[in-house]
Amino acid sequence: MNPVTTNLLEIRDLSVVFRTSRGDVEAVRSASLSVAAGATVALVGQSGSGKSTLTSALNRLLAGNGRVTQGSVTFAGTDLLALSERQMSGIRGRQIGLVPQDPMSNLNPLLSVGRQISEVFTIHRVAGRTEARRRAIELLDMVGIPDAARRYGQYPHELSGGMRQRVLIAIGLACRPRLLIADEPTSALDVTVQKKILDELSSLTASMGTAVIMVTHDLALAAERADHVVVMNRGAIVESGPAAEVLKSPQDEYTRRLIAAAPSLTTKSLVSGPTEKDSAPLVEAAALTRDYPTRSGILGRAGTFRAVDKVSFRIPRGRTVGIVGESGSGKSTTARMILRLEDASAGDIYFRKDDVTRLSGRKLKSFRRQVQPVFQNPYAALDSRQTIGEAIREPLDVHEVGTPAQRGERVTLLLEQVALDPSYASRYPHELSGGQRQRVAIARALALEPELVVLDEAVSALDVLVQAQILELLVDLQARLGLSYLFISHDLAVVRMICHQIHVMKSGQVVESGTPEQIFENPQHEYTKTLLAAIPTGRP
Amino acid sequence: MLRYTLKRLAIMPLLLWGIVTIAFFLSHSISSNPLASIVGTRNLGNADVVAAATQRWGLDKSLLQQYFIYIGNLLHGDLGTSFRTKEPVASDLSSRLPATLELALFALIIAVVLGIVLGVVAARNNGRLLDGALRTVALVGSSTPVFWVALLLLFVFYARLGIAAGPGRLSSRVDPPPHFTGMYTVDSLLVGNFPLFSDALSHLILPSIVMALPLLGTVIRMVRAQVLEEQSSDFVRTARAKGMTPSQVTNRHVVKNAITPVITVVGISVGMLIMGAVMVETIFTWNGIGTYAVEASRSLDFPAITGVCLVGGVIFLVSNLVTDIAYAIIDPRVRL
Amino acid sequence: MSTDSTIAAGSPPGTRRASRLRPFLRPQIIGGSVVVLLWLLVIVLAGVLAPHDPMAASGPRLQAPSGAHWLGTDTLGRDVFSRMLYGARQSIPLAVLTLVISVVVGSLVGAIAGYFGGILDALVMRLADIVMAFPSILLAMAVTAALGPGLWHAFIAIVIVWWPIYARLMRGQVLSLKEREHVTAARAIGLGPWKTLFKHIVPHSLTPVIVSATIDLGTVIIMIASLSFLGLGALPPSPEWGAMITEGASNFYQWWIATGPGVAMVSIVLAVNFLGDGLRDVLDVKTRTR
Repeated sequence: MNPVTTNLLEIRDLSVVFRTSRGDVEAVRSASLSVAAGATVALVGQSGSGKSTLTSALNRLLAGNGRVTQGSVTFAGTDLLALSERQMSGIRGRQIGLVPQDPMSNLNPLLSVGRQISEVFTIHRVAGRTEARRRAIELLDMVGIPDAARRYGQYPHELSGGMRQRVLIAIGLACRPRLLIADEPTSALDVTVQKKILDELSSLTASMGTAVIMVTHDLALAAERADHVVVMNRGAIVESGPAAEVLKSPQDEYTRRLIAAAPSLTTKSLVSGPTEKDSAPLVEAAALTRDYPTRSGILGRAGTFRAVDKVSFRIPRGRTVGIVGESGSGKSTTARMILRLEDASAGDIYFRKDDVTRLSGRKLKSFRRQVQPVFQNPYAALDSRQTIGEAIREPLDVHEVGTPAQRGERVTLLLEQVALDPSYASRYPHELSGGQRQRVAIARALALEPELVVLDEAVSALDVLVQAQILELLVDLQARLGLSYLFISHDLAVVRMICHQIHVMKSGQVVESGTPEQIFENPQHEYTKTLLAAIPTGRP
Repeated sequence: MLRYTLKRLAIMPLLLWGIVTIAFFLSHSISSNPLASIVGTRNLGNADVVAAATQRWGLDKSLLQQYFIYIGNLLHGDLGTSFRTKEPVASDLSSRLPATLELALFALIIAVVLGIVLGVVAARNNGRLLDGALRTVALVGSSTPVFWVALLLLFVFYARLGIAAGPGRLSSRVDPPPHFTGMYTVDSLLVGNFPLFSDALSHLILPSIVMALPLLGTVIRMVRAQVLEEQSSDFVRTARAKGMTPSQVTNRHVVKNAITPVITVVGISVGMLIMGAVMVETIFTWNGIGTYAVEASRSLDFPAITGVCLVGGVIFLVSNLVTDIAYAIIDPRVRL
Repeated sequence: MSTDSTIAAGSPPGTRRASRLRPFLRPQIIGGSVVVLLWLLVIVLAGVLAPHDPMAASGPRLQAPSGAHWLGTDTLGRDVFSRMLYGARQSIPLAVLTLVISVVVGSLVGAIAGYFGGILDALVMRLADIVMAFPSILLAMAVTAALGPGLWHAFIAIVIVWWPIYARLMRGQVLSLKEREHVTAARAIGLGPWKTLFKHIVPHSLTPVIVSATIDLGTVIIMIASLSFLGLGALPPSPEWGAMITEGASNFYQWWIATGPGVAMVSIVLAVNFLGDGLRDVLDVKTRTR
């Protein structure tokens, strides 16, 4: 017997269990949630919190090894869990739409995008082929794709990430469903594109009267876009309430930590003091340029693509210089040139007195000792066949620092420096969490006592709580060891927290430079302003 | 696409030149005396016969000279004269090629069509008995030596049960159809001789099945694996979320995606088919390129060996090119 | 798909090894290994296991299977069963050796070509293209025709045909691993190119090469037998499986002559393929999609 409700969706005491080789894992534990017709509910949590599993369960699209062990899902008065597979197929797409996470993998690469949209109409027999085509073009136009009729026949790989995400939104909203599940709909996109797409999504769902469940890891975004926020942690719902209220006065301990850790433009900076002008800079890059050869045209004429265009900056000793930009801005290429992992096409890099672009042999090896990288992906940055101890020790071996026994002691010391227990030395990377691996990568970078550490999106792949810890560690190490950092990131809020000096890059060029205060409080360049405006503030 | 095709066609002679060169030097770097096979052991003592033969085949010139003579002739379409048949290699090859092509095409069709169907069936029944049975059949198919299966099937179906036709392309005392394509099934249909067609077809069935077996096994296993992999991809979940039933998803989204990589494998497997042709033709006394190659190798017939290698190379390269083009037509991401 | 990063943390060291082995304990792998081990035993103990001398007549000619001759006798009155057991000594070790040499040569060439690139890469890969464009059986036939028939010549022929497969596979692996972050990190600490290649790239690339070689073992066994069947490999008196089947082919109605070696070959090839397939599934490698 179902309780009489006015809500569109009512989830009661839902539990989901996955059968794995390590036994059953409970991914969702007695979760209850309701969504009113036309409302937007944000489901917030870190990776592994069970938020995506919850939405898969209500759509009955759990992976093969998952099953609902208890609870009910009532949608518009119908118990979804009791429906036959055929009946459920009639509801999916028609009454419950889905906008999945990754625009790269969620479209069939061999079918035109138009067909993938019009398919929704033909499956549900709401329109014939020609009518479906007409409506699909109309939808493409509605989600903001220009020249929709031509785009209809194009294939996914011919569209940008943002365009593909729009196509997925068109698929999700094709039949004007009563509920739309948007699973991290924009997390794979640049922040400016994210804002545009979310704006379009909310105006469309508002005009259709569609309720939305938005799954996201970004609290600020949730608060900005949703009426109601639901926070999940380790499979359980720990807090739920009106967006503003949850953000302002969180009741749950976990939510409080999450809010405290999430970097936003109002977060206090972790570093202090302006750049000291007096000392000579550690690094000076002048008119740094990098061209890549390209092939285009019928004759295959070679052209060049300028990834980095006359970029100049200096890194003072003991300070952090940040480079922010969206994908394709050339920020990572710049970092690789500073590391001399890539050669500059033109321009100079001075490290102390040495011209880095001309180093070779022993001088290059000694340069490598003093400049170390930490990369984005904590899963790929360590060799899976080396133990943690071997990985940290390797730079010491290569440069023959001290005696073998001293190297062993140094590994212990380094592990302690990054707040890991020395017993981790005998473990393998796969036994560690993402945050722990990133600590190992930092320890390894510090092994040779470098002067400069290049952090290329070093915290971007981490959950906010872990990210906050790593940022604190970096600041602490800088204070203790007098390190200089070159901090590459797409995340303005993070850059603001940790940098003394910031350069904003767009299409290979630095468009604006300044201290965090200058950039964030008084941006001069149009692009910087757009970037800042696109960041979710947590205010609706 | 046109540009790619032209480019590929342009480098093809280069690869063929490499093949010919390797084949030439390999087959000429021997210690045994080819004269014996030219004039026969009995005439080896006869100085006049030996001198004439040496002169005629250019055996007295240096290897490099022989090579340049050969390449020069090759450019005029002259592949030399077979030591064994005393006929131009080119005409030997062109008279034997249709038989092999007929056999290989039949085998290819059996392997690909049956392989795709059975592969999809196996994937749909993943983990069930039928899947297990098909996987085992596939693995056995690709694990059995073609020449042994050929003997086994001939023994059982021809010698014991008498339900299959015996070796050869036609029954004895049956005359071949007039020559159009050289493929008996096609030619007999062209002249409307249906009894002859069915005789040719019945002789084709057993050898083409045998030849198809290894490739059939590969195709079944690959299609099955691809279908399963595609089924777990994100866009399949998106399709399910549109409201498609699992079988609608398989038919509209999975099968096409799963077959694409199979095309490439089939293209590469033409080499496997050629290997099959050599063995199957030998056992079924099929008068094609395969038997020609075996006879040539046994009698140290260099021009013939080199000629066969060249034809094999052309078949391989052409089929690779066709594969690439087919791939580009099916997969819009591939731009040639 | 979301990934769970926390599951990996800390399992006690005792269970770690056991749980690493567990995925390998599947019927395909166990069954395959058992048959392979049995054949290894046969190779070692052929002299003890065989009831008769494989090279000498031990009964009347062309006798059907009986208690005295389990698989009958051949045209010279030799015991087919004993010859089949001794045949394992010819085909299996030779096939393994062929593969080992091909894998070593191919991987080295492929790894170096892939890592250093440039003109060396271009040259080596064009050569590989040419060899691979050569239908392997024809090349092998040409080689054995040139060198004269014999098992060792067949071996040389197959190595020539086979190395480019692994060179390509290895090169592809190296090319994709080269850009991995842990490799970049190794370069950034100042590790030299050769050390980087052999310490951080090659060990990671070996799995697919080895799995692929396991799967190919069956094909190579068949190929050696095929050459012998055509009279280009092992020569008549020697108890090689392919050569024995040739004898069976010319004595078509004495079905037992070819049956023994045929079944033997199918069993070892099937076992190796099961093993290879199982390994590929467990280790989740993709072998040669292109």
